[in-house]
Amino acid sequence: MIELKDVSKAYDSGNGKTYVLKNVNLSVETPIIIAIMGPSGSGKTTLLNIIGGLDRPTSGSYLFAGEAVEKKRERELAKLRGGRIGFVFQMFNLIPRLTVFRNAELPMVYAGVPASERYERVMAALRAVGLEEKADRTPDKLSGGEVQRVAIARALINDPDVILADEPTGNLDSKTGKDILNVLASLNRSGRTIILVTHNAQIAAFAKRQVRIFDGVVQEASR
Amino acid sequence: MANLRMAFSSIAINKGRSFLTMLGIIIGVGSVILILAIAEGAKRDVAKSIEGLGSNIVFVLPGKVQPGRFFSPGTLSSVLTAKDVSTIKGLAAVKDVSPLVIISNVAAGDGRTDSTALNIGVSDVTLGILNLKMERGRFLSKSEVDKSAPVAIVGAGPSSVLFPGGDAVGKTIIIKEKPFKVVGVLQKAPPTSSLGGANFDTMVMIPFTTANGLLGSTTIARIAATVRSGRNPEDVKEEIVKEVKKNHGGVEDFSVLTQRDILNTASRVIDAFTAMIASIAAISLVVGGIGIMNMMLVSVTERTREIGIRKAVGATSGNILFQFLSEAIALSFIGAIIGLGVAFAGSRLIGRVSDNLHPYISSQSIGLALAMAFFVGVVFGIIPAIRAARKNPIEALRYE
Repeated sequence: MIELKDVSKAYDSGNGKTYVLKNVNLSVETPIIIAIMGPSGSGKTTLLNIIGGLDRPTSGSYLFAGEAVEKKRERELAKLRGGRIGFVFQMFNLIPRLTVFRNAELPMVYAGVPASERYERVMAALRAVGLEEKADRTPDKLSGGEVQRVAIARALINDPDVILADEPTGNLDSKTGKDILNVLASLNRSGRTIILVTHNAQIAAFAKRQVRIFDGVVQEASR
Repeated sequence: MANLRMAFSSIAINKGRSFLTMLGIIIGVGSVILILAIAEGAKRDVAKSIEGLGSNIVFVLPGKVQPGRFFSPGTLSSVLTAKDVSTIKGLAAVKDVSPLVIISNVAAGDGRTDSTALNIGVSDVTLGILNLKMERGRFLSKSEVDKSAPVAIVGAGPSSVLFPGGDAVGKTIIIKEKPFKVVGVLQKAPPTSSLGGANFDTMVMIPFTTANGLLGSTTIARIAATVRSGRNPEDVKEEIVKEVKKNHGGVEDFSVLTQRDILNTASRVIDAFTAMIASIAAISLVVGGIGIMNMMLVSVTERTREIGIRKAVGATSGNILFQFLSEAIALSFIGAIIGLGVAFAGSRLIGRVSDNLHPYISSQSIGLALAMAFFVGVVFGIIPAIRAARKNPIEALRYE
């Protein structure tokens, strides 16, 4: 499903190149929950952004479902992000002035799903995360856990193969965090790959496979 | 469709700021449309008054007026003579002919003067040619014209200025120090009746023979003629040109204008002035456009994170560009619609307050306003939209 070969990401700093990721090799088969762990600044978010098609590697190759992502054009990357991958962020990242419904609907708008089809699908996704009744509220009227569940509904709306979650519980209390992890686990059971970035070992323990990253270098950790 | 909905919702979120931004467009569109409305109204008034002359009228003027060019009244490079009048009278297609002699002097009477009065020498058939009616008394007779009698007909204007509250008929008026007995008063023409500034209401008419004596010359300023019914004025115009040219040594140093020519000339003059004034007003549209650009640039910065989110969930740069461009166009459009409302209100107000202006907003003006709004929205919205579209999603998502 996901195969990174010798992926590096570097920036030009004053004296030579600074590597955020260095020769990363990672292969993920579906469906699995995989945790990428590492301290802040270790490059884990950059890795996630590359996997999600938001960023491009400086060198190396990345195959998603057999297709070379690093060769894709901007439009094709947008299509990949919108259709086959779902993002869940630590900062939730809902658009504050849009209702829960409109936020969850957004990926379908860009994927060109006809308006007649959208309503049912949004409501089904909100039902799946238990927020059907709050469809018309704006995010500021919801609790942190509810906002993150809207974000998960949004990530699910185009039925993606992979969900990328960057510290999804980082801004939630531990009980709510556990709820969110349970939602992610159930998504995994329904056949999706979940890639989880965290620096919290307890949360990482929840994953079937763990990958450690330190100064841009990836190490596989066995359980 | 979704873009439009998003555009309107983000405008609605910031009502106050959006309104201030639109103000420039409102003023710009409002003033341009109002000016066009006033001009259109003036054009219609002129058309109405020229049509009031009847479609069978033909005017002959000295000097060559290029059809469609600026209406230059009486460039006296040449003169019309009594011979030209009789030549035209001799044409089978011509019904009536009248020379018009202009006396540039004020009219006085009863110790008052009317400086706006237009004193002209006419013949006994002029009343019918110019399609005028008598209010009181009678028009000039043929014998008065033949004998250069010191009699006058006054229009409604001089009649009320010189003899307020009284009957002008039987009174005496003074033109160029000579006394004239008033024998008739013209009926007031409709308020719209103006012919390139010369209003029939302001006329004082005396026999042209008398006018010639007063001026000590036989110069004729204009010849007015009517065409027999069933004859095409355009054909008669050709005929007049051909025949009168013979009197002028084969040189066409005069002009023959039909009602259509006068109408075209007058509306072209109005169009030229309108274009000039409207383009000055259009400057405020540019200012309005800059206002929109300014607000959109602020909005793009404020919504950096939103742009990042949208890109993360599948928006292409093109989607983002189109979203912000739609927003700029929507802003401009709403401004234009409010501006149109202002123009409608303003033209109603002017129409009610003013006697001379009858603004009229044509459907072309409305189309023009909306087209201007679209144009301004695109021109001034494109830079902020490009800036939004170019945002790197990762940096945008990190933006606080």
